[in-house]
Amino acid sequence: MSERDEDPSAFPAGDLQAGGFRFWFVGQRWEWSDELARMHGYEPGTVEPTTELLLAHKHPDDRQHVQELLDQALHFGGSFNSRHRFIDALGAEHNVIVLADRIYDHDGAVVGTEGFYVDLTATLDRARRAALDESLPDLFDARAAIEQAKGVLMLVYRIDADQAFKLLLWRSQQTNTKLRALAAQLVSELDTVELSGTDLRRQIDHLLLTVHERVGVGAGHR
Amino acid sequence: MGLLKIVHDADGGAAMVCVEGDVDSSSVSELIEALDSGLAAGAEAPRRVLVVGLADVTYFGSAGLNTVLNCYERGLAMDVAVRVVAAHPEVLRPIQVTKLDDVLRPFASIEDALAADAGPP
Repeated sequence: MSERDEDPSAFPAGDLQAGGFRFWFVGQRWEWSDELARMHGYEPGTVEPTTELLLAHKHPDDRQHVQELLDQALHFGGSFNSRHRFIDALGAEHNVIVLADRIYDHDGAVVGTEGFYVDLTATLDRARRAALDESLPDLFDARAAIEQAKGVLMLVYRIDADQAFKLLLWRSQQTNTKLRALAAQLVSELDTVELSGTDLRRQIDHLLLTVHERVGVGAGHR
Repeated sequence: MGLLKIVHDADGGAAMVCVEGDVDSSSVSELIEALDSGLAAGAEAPRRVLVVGLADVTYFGSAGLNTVLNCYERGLAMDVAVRVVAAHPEVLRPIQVTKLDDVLRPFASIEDALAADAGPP
């Protein structure tokens, strides 16, 4: 991400909400990015995220605390994702996908988990228009790849078409990669995904989180 | 509450707390309470040992891990040896992947935990 950071995103930040977190197992300590604090309804720096604070944001119909979701990293290797709901400080419900991976220390001990919340709740009309404007010059090719990539995400994450589009937009914004290039690369790498076995989601997590690194690398994929 | 089944016991001069059920963020307060009174009992026990039996724990996440670790550390401060008993992956794996097995050193059985005083041969 770093060398492409100076190119500001093509999308209005307000429309796309994704925020990073870290959760350290010992001491059950949380770190939130500014975006994630805002997603929960707080000005950055005004609250300290704790297990207790997150309990207060738990959706009343959910039995599981978000912490139990992240505790998956204690039991299984690899990245993982999960749908999750929470209530922000103003009382609004958010539907998010949590994508996370293990944090290791120098000795190889798993000390925590880090990843992103991607908010699937907010409206995305403005972001959608901006993205389509960007891809107008070769709209047909772009649209095909974007629609195909959306289909993959819809299946794997059990989300609807708008939410899948939002996920792609998030990765595009996060990595300053053009949406159509990201979608095309993702589609071109689908043959690397093994359909047998139980970790289809994890493979797609990995693909979604790393595909921007291979956009425009010529020969394409591994 | 009563999400966990907790049995307090004493054997061979040691205090014992055995836990059964899912230890997660909704049930962990019961474990905290049980281990608090277990530590107090351990301090009274002739051998100043508290055995924490986790063999029947069916879910063990970061909430449980922290509670057991806190208990172990408070035991050190109180001069009570806290010995964790767990041999199944549901409990062992979180302890191992975090490398806390260097600290907690889980025993395979209650008998082993009680026999640990004999020291290395």
